Amino acid sequence: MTPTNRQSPFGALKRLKPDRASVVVMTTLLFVVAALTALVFLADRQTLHLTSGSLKSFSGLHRAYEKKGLAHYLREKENLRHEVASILQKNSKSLEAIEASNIAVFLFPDLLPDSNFEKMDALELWYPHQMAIERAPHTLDSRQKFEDLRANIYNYENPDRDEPQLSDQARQVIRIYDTLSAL
Amino acid sequence: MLTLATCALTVVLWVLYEQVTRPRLSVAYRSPAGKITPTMFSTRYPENAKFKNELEFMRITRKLSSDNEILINKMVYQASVELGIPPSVLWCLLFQESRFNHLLGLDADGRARGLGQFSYYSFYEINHDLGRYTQSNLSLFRNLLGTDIRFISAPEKDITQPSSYFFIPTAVTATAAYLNNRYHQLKRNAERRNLRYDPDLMWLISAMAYNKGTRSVLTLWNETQDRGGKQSLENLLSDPQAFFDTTANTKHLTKVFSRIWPLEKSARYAKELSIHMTQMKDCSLSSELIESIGAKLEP
Repeated sequence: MTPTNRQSPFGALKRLKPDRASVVVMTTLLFVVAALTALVFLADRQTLHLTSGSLKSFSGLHRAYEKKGLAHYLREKENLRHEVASILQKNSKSLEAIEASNIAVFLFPDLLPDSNFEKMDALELWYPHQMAIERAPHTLDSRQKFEDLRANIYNYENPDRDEPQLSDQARQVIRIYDTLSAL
Repeated sequence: MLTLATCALTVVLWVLYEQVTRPRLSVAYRSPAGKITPTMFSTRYPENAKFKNELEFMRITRKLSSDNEILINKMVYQASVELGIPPSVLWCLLFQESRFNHLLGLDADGRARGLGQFSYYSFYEINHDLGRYTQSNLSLFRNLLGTDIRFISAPEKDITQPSSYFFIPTAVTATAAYLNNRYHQLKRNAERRNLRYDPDLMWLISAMAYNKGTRSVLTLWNETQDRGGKQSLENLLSDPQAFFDTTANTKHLTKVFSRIWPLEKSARYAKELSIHMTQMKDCSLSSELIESIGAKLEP
């Protein structure tokens, strides 16, 4: 009676011809290396992404106004404000906290701690303009306020005068108030 | 004999012409309050041999005409006295931004224009919000140019009209006003928190804000404060060595800017800013201070 080998992955590999076995091993190794590289790359990018469900609503605030009007927009904005406040109160250094802080700079600067150097400029350079636009949207005055707000944000943040750049948060705030002030 | 005499006379006249047309500044500049104060800045800018050679090459190759250079130097000095800006800072800023090509951007697709590389939004601030941070900007155009020539723009035609940013006196004056706004914006931020700072160093920090936006500066201040407290921040604002060590550290700047931008952009802006501030240091500071600082760019 011929003894039989116990079934095992290594046994299976042994039964493969050497060139097939090495192909399997190489393919597996390549897959692992590629997966690890992708993981390191993604982690290293430190790309800010919306991790919290309520922070995700920030990217759609302008649509909230377009679809259901000012009252709905203000409710959505208030919900976002509560979420941002909640995250900032934890005083953590997580990516979510950094994103919440960046949203606060351009939309809720009063939520920033007094120790934050950006608070004062935000409260003067665009926050009053936003309030004025929300009080009287789609007026000539609101449009002028928007032009001032946009110039102030660009001058404050843009690091490249030849090819102007804005952070995602600044860009979204400009989009929101462009929508609210459109004539 | 006649030929030799003519040559000698030509040389003498040329030397005299150079002596007359290159402005000489006193060792210290006089602030608007009339006080002469010692300064960290050079009076014979650019200080660095590399920039001196580059400037000489620009003269020889006619990239910078003598008339334009005289006009730029004169306007830099006048604007500096009017606003209390260290002349070498304003001069070096303009040199770094445009290499004194007052028509830079006239026929290009990029958005930045002229001596100070103004953008649409830079014009907007000067035209609509000139006096936001300081009253000294409001009388600036009248005092230097005879009248308030705003609304300033960068037109493709009639570029020699006073309201054109391609007109050298207007470009220098408007750039000085914009830099002055950055200075007062940052200064009041520091003073509201009773932070100790060096007023001279604050001008270089303003040049940083001019180049990369005020947000880049305030984000650095926030990070420095979070990491090392008030003392660490005051050190950054008052010690040239600490300041230039920080701005030369591209890895650190990349980490700071990654609070705002994706990593790739953060690294790019960090490198650009680091180079810009190193050049500002080498161009505008006195040679004694440059030697004592000894900060180098990271490899």
